[in-house]
Amino acid sequence: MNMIRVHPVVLPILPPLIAIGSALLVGAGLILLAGASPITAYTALFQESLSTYFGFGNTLTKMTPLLLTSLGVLVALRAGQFNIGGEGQIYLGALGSAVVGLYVQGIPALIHIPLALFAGFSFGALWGLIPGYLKAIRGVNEVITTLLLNYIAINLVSYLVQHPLQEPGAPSPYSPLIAKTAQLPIILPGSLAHAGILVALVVAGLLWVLLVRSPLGYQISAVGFNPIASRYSGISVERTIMLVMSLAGGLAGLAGATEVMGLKYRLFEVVSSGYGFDAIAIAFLSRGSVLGVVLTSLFFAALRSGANVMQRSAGVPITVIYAIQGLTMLFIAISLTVGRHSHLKT
Amino acid sequence: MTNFFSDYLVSSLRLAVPLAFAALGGLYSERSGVLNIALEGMLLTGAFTSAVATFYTHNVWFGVLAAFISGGLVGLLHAFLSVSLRVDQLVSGLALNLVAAGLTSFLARLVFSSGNTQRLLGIKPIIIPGLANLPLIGPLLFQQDVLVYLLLTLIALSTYVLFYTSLGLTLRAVGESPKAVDTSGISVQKVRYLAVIVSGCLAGLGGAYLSLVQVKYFAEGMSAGKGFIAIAALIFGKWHPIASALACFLFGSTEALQLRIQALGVNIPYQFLTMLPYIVAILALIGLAGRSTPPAALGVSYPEKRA
Repeated sequence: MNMIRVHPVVLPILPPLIAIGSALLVGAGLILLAGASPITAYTALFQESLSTYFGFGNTLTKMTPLLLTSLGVLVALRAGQFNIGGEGQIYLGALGSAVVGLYVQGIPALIHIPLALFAGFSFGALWGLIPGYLKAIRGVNEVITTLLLNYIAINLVSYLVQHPLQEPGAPSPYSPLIAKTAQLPIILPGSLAHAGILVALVVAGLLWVLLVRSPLGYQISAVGFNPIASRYSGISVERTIMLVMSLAGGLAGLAGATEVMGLKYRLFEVVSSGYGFDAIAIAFLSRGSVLGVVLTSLFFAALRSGANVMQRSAGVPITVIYAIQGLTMLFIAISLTVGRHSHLKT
Repeated sequence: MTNFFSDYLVSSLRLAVPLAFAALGGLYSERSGVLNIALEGMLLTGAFTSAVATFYTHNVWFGVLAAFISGGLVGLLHAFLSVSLRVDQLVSGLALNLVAAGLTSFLARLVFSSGNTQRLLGIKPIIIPGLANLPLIGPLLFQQDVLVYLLLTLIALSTYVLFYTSLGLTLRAVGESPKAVDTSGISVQKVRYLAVIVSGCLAGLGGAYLSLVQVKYFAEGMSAGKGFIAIAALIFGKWHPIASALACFLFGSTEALQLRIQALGVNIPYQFLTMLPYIVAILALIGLAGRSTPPAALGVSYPEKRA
């Protein structure tokens, strides 16, 4: 590694960049397999998602849930916990905010919006606390519990949307519209971009302060780095684990809430199309840095947002995006072995 | 009534087969100390490749072979990442799951017109004369197809090999105390590679059963968390082939319940029944907390990474 002279600032971001580049390369191969030109496809994808007004708005709307959920995964990772339950927590958060949006009427938006967001956060936090508690107190591996809880959450929402919460007379299962006062305003007129992205960015900033500049953040990192030593220095490892898992769940729940409140205005059976799993790749790609999470979620959001256009204009199935994302995670996993420093010890 | 119960048992067994294949595979990998979260991806890969191979060759056995090999390849990749490169085994497994999900979805859209296939050829059951007529266990154990018989044989074989042969002892030793095995001259890497590749092959076969026997088509994401339930079964079965297989049967029976409950006229929305296997899996894990000890070196790379 010392044979190549690289500026020290550039060095840490090199492996993730190489990983993304490699994934895009393999993706180009897949696109060729699908019978389309990678140049056309990638141009369509990135041009639409980043340089057109409406497309960028779309990118921002997709970035919101990705960023929030990834922050959740990151927080848990700092304490050495793997939160794979983001998907289910998003569903629960959507549910919570929808309930507040549907059943609480007659209060001004200034109160309704934070209330609904809080409800989304709380529902998600509960869904994170369950595996957190099971891990901290009962020693049950959180990877499996969070994974299994995903399926339970998705089915729960499906049931609720098909029965008690269903809009009467609807052609397919969805809830009634949430109250206007619970809807997040559009920030880019003429596009779909809503205030959720502002919420996400503010949360990212707050989280950075929490993780990097506060005693709690130090405590979290300590538990992640060396739980035994932390215990000796008086930190309650159990409480920390439960706290980070609840926080992670809450952040994902917030993601679900912003989807309902800013984009859909209703609760649908399908709340998230894999944001919870992308979040894991994003959190790993960013190697423990909040800024990294912000930038990487922008990249993934651009991939998703441009995918539809790519399908229309270049004829490539959207699913190639999922393949590229998976490959990115794979190459990141490989690149992690190259780095000397790692915030991601288990 | 006995007919209903007998049907229910058969249904439970059928639903448990992919779980059990995956769990058995996971057992080999984890007994050697390598965490295998990628079982889900291996199942999916097996389901996909067997569907494609059968679709093109009109021969189920090519499908089964394709699943076996492709699962093994995924296992090889997992082994390479976790054993040679010493990537964190959880990360490697998760990454492989994502790749498998993405690639199979993408390729399925290319191969099959709408992402699902038309009806595939299935594997016919082989009826063992005489024994098949026994009440209850007759249809359960002696009217199944070749893959089921293979599974049952492998479970018995694995129990014997694992606990009564020196090969099994080596495998278990690598998972408990790799350093001891290393000093005795046996290559820890080789044993782990083999174990993980085997786990991929077996999980791949489970996937073949899913797409060729259970439903006879391939749908994106059709493994639906079965790989994770298999891991729960493994933990619940304390990494013992027979106990883990029985746990899979338990989980399979909860899935079978969903299909039967409507027949009983009970009016529960299907989602609660779909949830049931996952809830039971979590409860099983909670009930066992602390008392199910994994192989001591599970999840730890060898040689250990420098801090």
